[in-house]
Amino acid sequence: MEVHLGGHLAFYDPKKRSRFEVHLDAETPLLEVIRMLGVPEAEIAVAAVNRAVVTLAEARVGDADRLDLYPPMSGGARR
Amino acid sequence: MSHGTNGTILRVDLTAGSISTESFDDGFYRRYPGGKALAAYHLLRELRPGVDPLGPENLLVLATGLLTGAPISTATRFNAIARSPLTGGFGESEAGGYWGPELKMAGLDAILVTGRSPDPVYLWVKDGVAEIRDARLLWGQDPPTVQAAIREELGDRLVRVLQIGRAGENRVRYAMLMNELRHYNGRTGMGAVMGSKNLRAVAVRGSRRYGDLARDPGALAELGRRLAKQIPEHPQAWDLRTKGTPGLTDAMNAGGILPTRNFRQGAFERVDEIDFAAYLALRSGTRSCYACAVRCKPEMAFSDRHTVTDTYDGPEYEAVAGFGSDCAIGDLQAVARANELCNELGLDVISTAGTIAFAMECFEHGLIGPGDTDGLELRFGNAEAVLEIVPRIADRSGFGELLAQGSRLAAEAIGGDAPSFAMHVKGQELPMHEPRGKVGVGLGYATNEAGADHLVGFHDPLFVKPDSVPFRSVADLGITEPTGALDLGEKKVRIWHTSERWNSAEKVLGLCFFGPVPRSLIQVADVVAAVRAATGWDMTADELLEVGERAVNMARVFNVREGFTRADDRLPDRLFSPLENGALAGTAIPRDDFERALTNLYLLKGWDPQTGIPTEARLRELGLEWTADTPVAGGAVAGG
Repeated sequence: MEVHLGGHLAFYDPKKRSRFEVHLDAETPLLEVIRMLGVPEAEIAVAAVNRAVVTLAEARVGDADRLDLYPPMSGGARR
Repeated sequence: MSHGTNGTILRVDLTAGSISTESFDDGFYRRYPGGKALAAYHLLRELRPGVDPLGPENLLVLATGLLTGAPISTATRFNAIARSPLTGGFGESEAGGYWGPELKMAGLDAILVTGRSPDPVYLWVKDGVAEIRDARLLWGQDPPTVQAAIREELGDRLVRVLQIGRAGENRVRYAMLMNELRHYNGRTGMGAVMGSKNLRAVAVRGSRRYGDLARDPGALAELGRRLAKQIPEHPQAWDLRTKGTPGLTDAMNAGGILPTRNFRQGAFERVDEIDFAAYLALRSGTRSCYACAVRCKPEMAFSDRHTVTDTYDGPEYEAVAGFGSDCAIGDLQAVARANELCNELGLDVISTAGTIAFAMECFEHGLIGPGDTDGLELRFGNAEAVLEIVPRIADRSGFGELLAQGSRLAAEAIGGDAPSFAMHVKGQELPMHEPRGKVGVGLGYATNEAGADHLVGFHDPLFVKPDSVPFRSVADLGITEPTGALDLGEKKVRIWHTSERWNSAEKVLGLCFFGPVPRSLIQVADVVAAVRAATGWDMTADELLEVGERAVNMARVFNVREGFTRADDRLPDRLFSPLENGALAGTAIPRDDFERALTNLYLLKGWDPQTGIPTEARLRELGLEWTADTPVAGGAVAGG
């Protein structure tokens, strides 16, 4: 499965990777995958599977999916 | 003797060619410690209502914050404040970089400029001594040339130069200031005010150290060392350093809140061409502001279909979304070139992109055509047309003359449905944060005295999850109840009220939005400790909130004097209509909920819910009784 950790979520990957692949043997609850990735659930604001926004507690993912996780979005710079 | 400040401001009258200084005591600084508060105080005291923002009477205040220049990360900011030519109200814009700290080291807390020089000049300040110098040969030159020429003339390559560009010289209503070429006071047209005074640049050099000003320099240095060690280990700081604000683009699109096609849509079909992966392929490095461990400033250089150098700041998120999705341009190279043009010409990126997106929608609806636009097919997605029109805006030539007025005035001139396409508040174009997905930010856009601004308070998504790092960090400010990003109820209004006062305090202290909570690289207790070490004041978080609130109320009183009322605290109608696409397709701000939230916010602020004017009681509580008899139409400023 293709994984994209947006914003500061990549900080929680041991290798600080934003994009990488993981292998799933079977369809798995998204929350379980997130725990496996080591990303704190409280830091995730948006989860998208195959670019469609999903609910963390309900979604399931498989090996052929693309998963995007994003933290809460705050402001940009420049005033 | 006061500590943490120089206790001295510089006054410059460019009509008379006179320079003087004035000093204030410790008690004054505790009420108006710096930045927005110090500047607003002078604006209210010294500027009569109704002056032409681009006339010699307008007062331009360049004010450092209390902590600006302190050896702690993010203490870099200074404010540029005057009556705005874009909004007609309180104009304000901050920048980081190096100029603010240098002014503090030069023995001054602020520079107040009034009048108009008969010929172009620049101001040279060294260790508290100032001089007005000839800038006739600098007028019309590009910013790098001006910076280099001033340094050569003064024989000091370490002189810090704050300057305007061509847009400021030509008084474009949203012209900006820049320091060290890379740091920008972008908003509300402060560059046009400086240009109207024939003041091209302010060069400063100081030999003091902040430690010389601090009450307890050892404690301040120790705090600075601890933060410098902690910050790189913070997830948010890591994000800012490795990705910077351009890292936001992907997330905004996924969440359905990436402003697209002039805020009609929340997702951009060509986002892959402007997202962070695309950005990384063009980024050439990162830079820092003065003494800051965050190091978030991107730098870009490439020569391909377009050429961009690393002379200026690389496009931040606001430029990527503004020229990218909001103008429907899926070409990061063109976006980066448009950003570079704005920097080179001295234009605010947000207002420039917002005004062009407005014009594109007018073009697509047939309200304007090639006969109006100098032959340009100013349609969404036409990058070449954008790159053609930006210099014309700066030069106020051809169709650029109309767009140089900003979207509000341009819409009035075009007529028909054009005003409904102008995405502004009080005349200032919306930043690239979608209020239909961040309703508190929308409340801030509406109420902010300087018009739409994304740095007025905390962004809603940070307060959804109680266990998140941002949410846990704001408990020290009394924010303990999470609430949804789309909620406009009492909890959200309370959060907004607190966050607005805190962010205003940051502007008074000179701290960057990216440092303290809720970003939480710097905790509330750290800010309190920094103020104590700098000044010796035992100032609590509550008093800091009050300092912030005092500054907001002064800005509000300024606007009331200029005729602003609750009717000006509005959002563009489009935001009360559904988003056309993306994860929040169909979402609109409920108008009744918004109006109720506005009333509740006024009540929390101690303002009249009918008029939005501060009550006399609230002004007295804040020690602003001296503003309460400010003459306005229909009586005194305060409603009692």
